Amino acid sequence: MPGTHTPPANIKDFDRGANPTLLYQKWDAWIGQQVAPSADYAAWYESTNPPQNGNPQTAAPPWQGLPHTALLLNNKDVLAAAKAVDSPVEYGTGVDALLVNQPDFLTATGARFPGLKYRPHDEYLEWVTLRDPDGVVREVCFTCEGPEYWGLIAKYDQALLVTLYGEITGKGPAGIDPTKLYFSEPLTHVEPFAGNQKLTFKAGDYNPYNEYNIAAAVHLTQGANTLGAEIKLAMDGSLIWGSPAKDKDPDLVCCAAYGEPNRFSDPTIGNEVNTLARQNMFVTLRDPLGLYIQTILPNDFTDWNDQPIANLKTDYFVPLRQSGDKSMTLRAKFKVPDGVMRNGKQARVGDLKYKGVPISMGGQIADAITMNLFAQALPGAPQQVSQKCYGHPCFDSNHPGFVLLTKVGIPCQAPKAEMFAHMLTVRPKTAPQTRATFRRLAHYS
Amino acid sequence: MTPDPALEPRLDWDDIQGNILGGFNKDHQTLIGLEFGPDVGQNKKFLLDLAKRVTPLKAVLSYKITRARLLLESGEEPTSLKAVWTAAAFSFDALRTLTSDADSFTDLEFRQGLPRSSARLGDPTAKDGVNDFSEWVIGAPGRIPDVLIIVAGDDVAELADAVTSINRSASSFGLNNIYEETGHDLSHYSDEDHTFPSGHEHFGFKDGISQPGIRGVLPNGRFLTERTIKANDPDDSSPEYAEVGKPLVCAGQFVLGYAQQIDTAPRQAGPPRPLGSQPNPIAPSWAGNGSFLVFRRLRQDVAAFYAFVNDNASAIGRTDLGPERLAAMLVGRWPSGAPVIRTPLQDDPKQATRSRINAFAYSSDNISLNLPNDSQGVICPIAGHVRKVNPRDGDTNIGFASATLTVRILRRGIPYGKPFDPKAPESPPADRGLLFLSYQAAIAQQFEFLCTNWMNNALLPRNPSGHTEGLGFDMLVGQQFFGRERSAYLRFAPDGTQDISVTNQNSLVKDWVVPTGGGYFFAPSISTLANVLGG
Repeated sequence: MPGTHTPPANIKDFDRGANPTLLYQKWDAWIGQQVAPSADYAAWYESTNPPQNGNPQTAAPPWQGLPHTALLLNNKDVLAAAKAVDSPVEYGTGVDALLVNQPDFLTATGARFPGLKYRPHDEYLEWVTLRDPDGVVREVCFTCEGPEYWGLIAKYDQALLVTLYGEITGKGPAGIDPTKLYFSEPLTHVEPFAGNQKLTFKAGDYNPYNEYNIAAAVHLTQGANTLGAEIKLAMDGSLIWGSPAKDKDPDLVCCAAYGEPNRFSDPTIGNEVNTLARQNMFVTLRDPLGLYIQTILPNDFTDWNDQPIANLKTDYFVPLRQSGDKSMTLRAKFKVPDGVMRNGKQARVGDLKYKGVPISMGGQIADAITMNLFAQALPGAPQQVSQKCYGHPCFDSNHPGFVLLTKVGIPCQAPKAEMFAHMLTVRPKTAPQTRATFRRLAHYS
Repeated sequence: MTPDPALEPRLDWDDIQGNILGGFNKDHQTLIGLEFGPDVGQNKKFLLDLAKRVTPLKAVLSYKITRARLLLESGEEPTSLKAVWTAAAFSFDALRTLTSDADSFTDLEFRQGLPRSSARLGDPTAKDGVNDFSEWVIGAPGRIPDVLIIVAGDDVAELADAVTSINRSASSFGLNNIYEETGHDLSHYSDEDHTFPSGHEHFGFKDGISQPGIRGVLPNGRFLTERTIKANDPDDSSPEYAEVGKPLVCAGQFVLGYAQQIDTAPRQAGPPRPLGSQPNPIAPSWAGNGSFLVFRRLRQDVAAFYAFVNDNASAIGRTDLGPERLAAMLVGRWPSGAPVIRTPLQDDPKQATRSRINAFAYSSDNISLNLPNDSQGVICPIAGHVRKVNPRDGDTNIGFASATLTVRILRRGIPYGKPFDPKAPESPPADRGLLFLSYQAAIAQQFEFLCTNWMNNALLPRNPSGHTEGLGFDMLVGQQFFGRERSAYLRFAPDGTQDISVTNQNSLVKDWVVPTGGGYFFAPSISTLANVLGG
């Protein structure tokens, strides 16, 4: 029996579990806890319990899958940005291509726990590029599934977890070693995307960075790519920020500090929700709550002769996990359909061009993928009291376009270089621990 | 306060071609496509001669100042003030024959040329999926001009003389004229029976209204784009406006060698695109003060457009939606140029005055203008042409609203062909349309982006709706390869309950704007034309 809050894309995995009711209930409870209205969020409501009848407005803000930060840091060169984020990054090995320094996971004795990796993709879309032995790209697999969903399955139904991993990786359940899906010993990790909270994992907890996930992109791994972050961002977006109210980015995203200003996703989501809230609307995220692959933009793809590709959207970009009505996609692959030949041989992804450049990186395709979520709004929300700004935007001439989220009261001129140096170490990240982030930034400043 | 020299650089008005930053905007313009002869030396001699003819920015601005003064003094158009101006641009292959370092141009689209981009731009293709250039008048493979010359004049006869003179010179140095076409402002065709207003395109809409302001100061100390709005806080992170509706964009977005626009920081100067010996150059050092020119010859089928509008208005059957309003919603403006956002139900010339025609936004910026917030696209459709290509305020899929400044282009087009007469049906339709010309610093990131990412895409730049496919294509100019079918939503309530789809699915003719030629070129500085390319 489905719960009140249904799983992302209404995916039916739970029906295959040993106790579907339990899984649905646990999911419903977790989402319900995340989206519960509170006095702090006067315009926020729970989609399953609207404040009034009527047809809600819907907004499905689109953003692109290749990290904007990588584009900013690579002069908007798609191939260069795609190259920069192509490989998974091991925790504790320094600053990644998005200027994030993820600290080590530590054992109970304080020793480094090696081998854990994440993908440096921070637009709620992650991918793996599968290549043939000659290095040519054969297939690219994309996911936007939050780790929380998989953690819940891991906690309550290990057999289902193994089954799903076996299907997604193509190894079959027998090919999945369940012990690799769970941590074998207690670990701690200071997570910059959770306000530098010290996270603790017990032996037997789900390991979201397991090797199967890293190899096959089963679900999201980057520290900020969580459903919890999405919800917190939308809730913070429902508040009115600054007086007079900030209505433009980067002022808005920096004032509210509800997300990372250098991404496509966070400012876009926050701005869309906030636009509704500023019109005195009640807002929420539509159930089933999730982050979704919306579509692929076919226009910039051509074949090896620079000719357009018919049916690229339907035949080359294949949804693997999506809702029954096909409006919400969680997982997809990009592959040249069987039978498309080049010089008598099966054509491969690496034979195609994107924006006139041969495809050698999965990130080139991510650039053409648009993501979305579904926000909803109903009229009649009470007039809100403006929230005081936490931050304001500053810029560094050494990194044109890169926004330095700076604490209110600290002028842009004063400690710019110093602040940026600290950002290189650990970037301030607001969601979901907005204030904690700013305490840290204040320390640096 | 002294302007920041990085943000407001001193523009070399003796060296930059006048059409780039000044805009010829003459009523009569001839495009000449020349093919080099086999003797490079002769070709270079012609270019030396051509360099003397090319009009610098200074001359264009001086003329415009004089014209404005005379207009103010007399209250009438100063018909005695006439000029003939010239601009020139080169294909990549041409530059390779003229120089040893043209290969350092990295702009892939420029290097490969328009025909290679045609598929991505969604141009009509043959049934087998191979590009069809059969209708291209100029610019198809094998017919790409080495030099594209734009000659503009106030007087038809003076223009013709100048064109003849250039052709004579070209011929004397062994160059071949492979294309020549003259466009006229449609008012040129007015007679006793017909009045065609100035500045309109063939579908009947005023065109070329919204151009970005350009940052930079002139050697005389004045801003290139005059400011009626006083600059406020330089730390403000919202765009700065020269006048209402006219945001300021860094000159380097249009001319190489100057500060670029930064998508997240509209009042900050981005470093100029590197040239020559600088790290990671995008072009040779002599490309400074130059710009990339996109030319698209767009044939317009006026009867087909209005058949589409009439059929859809009739099919929708709303009493408040006649064909005129439907056409205006698809354009985003009424024929007078009045913005739909200012006058939703009917054309109103009072909303097309200098102070109002461009004074609007779509979202919260409208509040200060006493206009409604239309972030849901209920007044002006999200898919309306002018909203698609210039979303103004509000975030888009490329991030902050200010990021849209980085994709602005400088449009310099002019109509060609006689205006359509609804009382004189044509079969087949006469050849008329727009000689679309735009200058920008990066073809892929500006012109092509607007086409592929926004105009030819139902989903972008915004989707404030629950339609997973988005709110529709640019039905006016957008292209869609293969099926050619496009649709867009009109919205009459923000909750989506009154969304109505407009489609060309049942239209006999599915494309009313058909590309029939063009090319990608580079418009060098005048000194480069004389000293590097010519000689």
